[in-house]
Amino acid sequence: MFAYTVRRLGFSLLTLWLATLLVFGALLLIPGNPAQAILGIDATPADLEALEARLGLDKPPIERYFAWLGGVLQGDLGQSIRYETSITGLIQDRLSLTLPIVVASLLLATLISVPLGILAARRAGSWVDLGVSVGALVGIVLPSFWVGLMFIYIFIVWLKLPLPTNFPIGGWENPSQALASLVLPVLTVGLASASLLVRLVRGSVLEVLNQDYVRTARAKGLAERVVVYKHALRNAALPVVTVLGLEFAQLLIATVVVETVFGIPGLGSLSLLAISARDYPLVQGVVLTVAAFIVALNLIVDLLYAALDPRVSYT
Amino acid sequence: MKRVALIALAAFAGFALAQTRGGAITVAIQTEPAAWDPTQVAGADISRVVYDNVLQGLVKRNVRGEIVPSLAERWTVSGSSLTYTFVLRRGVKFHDGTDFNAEDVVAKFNRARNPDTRASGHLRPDLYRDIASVTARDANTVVFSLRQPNQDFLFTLSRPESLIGPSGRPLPEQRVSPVGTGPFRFAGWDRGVAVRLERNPSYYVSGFPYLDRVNFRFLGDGDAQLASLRAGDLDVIAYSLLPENAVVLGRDNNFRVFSGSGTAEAVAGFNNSRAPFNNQKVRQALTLATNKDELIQGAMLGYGTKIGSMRSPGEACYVDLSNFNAYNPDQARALLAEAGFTNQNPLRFTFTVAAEFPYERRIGEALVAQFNKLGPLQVTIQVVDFNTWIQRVFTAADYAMTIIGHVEANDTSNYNNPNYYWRYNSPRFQQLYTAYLRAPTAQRACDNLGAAQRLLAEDAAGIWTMSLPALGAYRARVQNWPNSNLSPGIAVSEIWVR
Repeated sequence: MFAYTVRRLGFSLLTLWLATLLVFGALLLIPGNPAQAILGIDATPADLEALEARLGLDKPPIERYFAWLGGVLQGDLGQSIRYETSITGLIQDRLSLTLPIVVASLLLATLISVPLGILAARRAGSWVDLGVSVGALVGIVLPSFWVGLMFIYIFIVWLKLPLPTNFPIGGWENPSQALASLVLPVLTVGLASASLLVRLVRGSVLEVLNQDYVRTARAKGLAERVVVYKHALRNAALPVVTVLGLEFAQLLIATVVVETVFGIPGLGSLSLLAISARDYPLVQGVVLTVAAFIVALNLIVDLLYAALDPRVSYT
Repeated sequence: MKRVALIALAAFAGFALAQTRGGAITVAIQTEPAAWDPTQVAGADISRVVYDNVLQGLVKRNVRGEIVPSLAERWTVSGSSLTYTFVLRRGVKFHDGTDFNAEDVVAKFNRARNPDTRASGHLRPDLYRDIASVTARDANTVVFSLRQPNQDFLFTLSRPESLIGPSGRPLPEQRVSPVGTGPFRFAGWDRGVAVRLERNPSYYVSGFPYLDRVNFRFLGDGDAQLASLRAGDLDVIAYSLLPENAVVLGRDNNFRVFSGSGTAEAVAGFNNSRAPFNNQKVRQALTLATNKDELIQGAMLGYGTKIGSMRSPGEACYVDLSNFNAYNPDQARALLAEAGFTNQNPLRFTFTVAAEFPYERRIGEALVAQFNKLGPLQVTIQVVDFNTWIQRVFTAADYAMTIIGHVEANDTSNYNNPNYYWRYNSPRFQQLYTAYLRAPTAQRACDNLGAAQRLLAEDAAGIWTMSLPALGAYRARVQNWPNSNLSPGIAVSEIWVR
């Protein structure tokens, strides 16, 4: 198990490094440069040259990349070109919003999708099942951008709930407002994720319920509750856990849509800004962070597998 | 005379009583700039926030676009138009408590005119090239000597690049937290969220500003802005309100919609140096194929003003050419046929649009639809991100046709630069423009600038689809918000809330 974990970690580091290399190369290929992005269309060539020198962009890309990598190895993600501030600090600030949104959304999604999915599976083909499936489909089809705007109109403009539409100016200085500003984003993201998960839970439970060992359990005369919750659910949980892990990693960036609607400075909008501003070190920093999360989550999912399914071995 | 003054005073006092001091407003702007010092970094949203709110210059442009005193109380111009003497306001302090005086002005303009931008960190030294010297006669008098007369000199001094900070302040600090003399001091920048301004308690105009705090929030999406405004988290959408949202808000008593003139021309620009648009006939044909009234009605729901050259109606020396080369599809087809393009052998080209600008994007899409309806034109639209647009279209001029809003005031001069992305190289225009700049009197200058506008229209150097509206909305509690704004800044010092 230990050797396995070490080997996995080694591969993870290699993956991270390859990811930064790929992203750096891709950024060099697309048109545009950070100095021009900062100065806009009224700048003269001399203005651009001066800014490029100030930002160190007059050095060759390879040199810039290795200077950045050298910093990373010492735990320093460098300075953002756009914001002229520490990238580590920027990413920490953004994660302090994105992580709570993602964790709370997935929690909400699990709380909704697992009971509903089981219910739909146990009553497959009934009206309940149809209702759950249609609801899930609607949740998947509706763009979260639109859903977010509708939530603002329904909950804030019409129902007059005391929720802010945007992350408060001054941020966490005002904790209750800051937390309140995350309620609708979590609802928006959570419902979208629940729509995806509920179909998965239903399918997975349904498949397990049709397997021989469940029939045996029933034949033994066990109560249906015990069959479902003790025997079936554990196996049905495997694919759901995998997808939850993937969904978590994906949401770190995908929340950009709701961040735009709710004016939340999260990791998604930071990555969007970094790309559109051609802020190379910042893009690298964000990619590295997200990749680290993905790698860590994969590891956790694998370990959970072992706990859920004794047949998985790590030799 | 005395009686008139008394009545005016009484009227002013009555008006002044109605105002409330204190309170805060939140204003939406579309993008988050990279920094806040317009002498170091260019960008319309920087000026919108800091111009005359935080930072001030010798003179300023007010909402009517007039150049009026700011840190200079008054000035005189010598008969030769070569010497400008500015008398500075006394008792003005920067937000950091230091005194503002002639030395700050001298240091500023010596930095501005230094051609070595790496050393100065100042944008556009070309604007200040005509300054031969700038000296302090005493602590409150500054004298500029020019090499040659320059009709744009005062305009240059009113530009955002000419705003003045304390002479000794390090540039990196001024970028992230600008210190000036304005009615508000820069209180903080929540990256990704907003900038915060706070009332300058020692502002030299007594009684101003009214508000205690003004926040400028970065909200790029028009629908998110609308939702925030309606929910009460936003007080003002200062510009680029979507026309359809303006219609909705206009019906609601809780909001006021304003739609005034601005200085932004939506220019559908040709690459004048390349076939087929190096041919005046082809450019004229495309101008004739453009139904500007339909663009204003269809794409902008009636918001926008028809123009026919590179200048907006609110600006000085404007010549109305809005009906020059007016929509005439038959003539357009005839001219295209002369150039060899017919329905069987249509002119094919790509029209590049930057995704980030909602007005220009929809106007561009509608314009391309008009072109494609004509017959002998087959135009494909290509949407790119703004950075790609800057690189490909603006810097490399690797394009056929594009559209973008030119928000700067007095930017007819862009056609004077043959290397500008339109690649318009007309010795006649350059001659007229120089004649304008060097004219001995304002009237002669205007005559030349008028002729230059007419020449652009005759050459069909671009399609000036419309002067974009200064379109926005605010909650009814916000008072005294100007209906139109020809200033680079969103000046909030005279705004108050009920």
